[in-house]
Amino acid sequence: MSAQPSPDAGSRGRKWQRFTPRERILRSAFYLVVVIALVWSLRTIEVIPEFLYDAPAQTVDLFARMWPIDWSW
Amino acid sequence: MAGVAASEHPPHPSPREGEGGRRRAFPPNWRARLAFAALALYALYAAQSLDFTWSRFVQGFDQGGRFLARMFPPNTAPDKLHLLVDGMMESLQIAVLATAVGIALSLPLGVAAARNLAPAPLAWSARALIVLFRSFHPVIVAILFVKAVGFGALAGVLALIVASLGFLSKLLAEALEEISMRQLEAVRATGAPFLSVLVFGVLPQVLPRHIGFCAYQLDSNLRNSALVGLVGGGGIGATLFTAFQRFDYDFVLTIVLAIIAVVMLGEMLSVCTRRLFQ
Repeated sequence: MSAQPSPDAGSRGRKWQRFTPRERILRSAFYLVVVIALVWSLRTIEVIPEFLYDAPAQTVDLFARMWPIDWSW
Repeated sequence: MAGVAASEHPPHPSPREGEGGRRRAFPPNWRARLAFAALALYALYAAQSLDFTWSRFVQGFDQGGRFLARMFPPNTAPDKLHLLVDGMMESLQIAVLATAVGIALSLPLGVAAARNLAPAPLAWSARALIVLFRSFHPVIVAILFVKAVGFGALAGVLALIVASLGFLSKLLAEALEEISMRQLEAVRATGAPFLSVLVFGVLPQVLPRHIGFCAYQLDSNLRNSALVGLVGGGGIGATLFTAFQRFDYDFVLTIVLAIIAVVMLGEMLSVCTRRLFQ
């Protein structure tokens, strides 16, 4: 009963908050860490462009070599 | 007493009662005994055909001892540590990117595979795709991607994306199939379009569980990123493989200890994440 706001407080004065300030800070920190990790990974990961340009040809070659299934094995 | 009891009740032999009223608590199970005997015989035959001999075992002990002796103390020379840090950073990048892309792609695939949300043909084709992704170990997928996109971290990332996608969308689809449809109906009754139904009716019900799965997948990708390196997928696995082939066993020990440390850190991180969101 005591948790209910007094009638004269009015609905305009009430503010509902789902998380405690500590939870909100921890969650924001977690999101920040995720974004930093993603940006760092994307910027520093080493992709060799020559291999990337060659990828479609290599994939076609892979499936072309796969195709007639060699049942004799 | 026994006689009185027998005369009062009609004779009704219990299945465990033998002849003469004697009970055997544990009757011999001859079928199981024969099966165990056959298993033991097969184990003997297999050991013999695989050339499992005592002398080889003793010899192996000797070599194992020498191997361990060469591992100690772990190599912490600056140039080796530099290699270690480089490889570990690449492994972390592989794990982070594979997990992020895997999570992003698993959301639509998981929803498409949930039979209570998607029409049956879509659900079954999405399930078939998930089965395809889950049917191979990441190492085998990595071998295919190394051929397709060449050596390096990209092949590892792509292989682990496939693994994450299979695992996460399957678990998401199963979580989605268990949700309560009442909240969905309530949101639908307001005239909300499908995306709003997903965001306000479905997502709140599965999000904590899905975040737990994602944290586990990051942890698992950290471990597997060391594995895909062995077949050319980049990262610490490549460093480990090279060190092993160069007989740098002391450096191998350093790498193994570092991998254990990183995996433990990842585990702690995933426990913290789960606690934060549940």
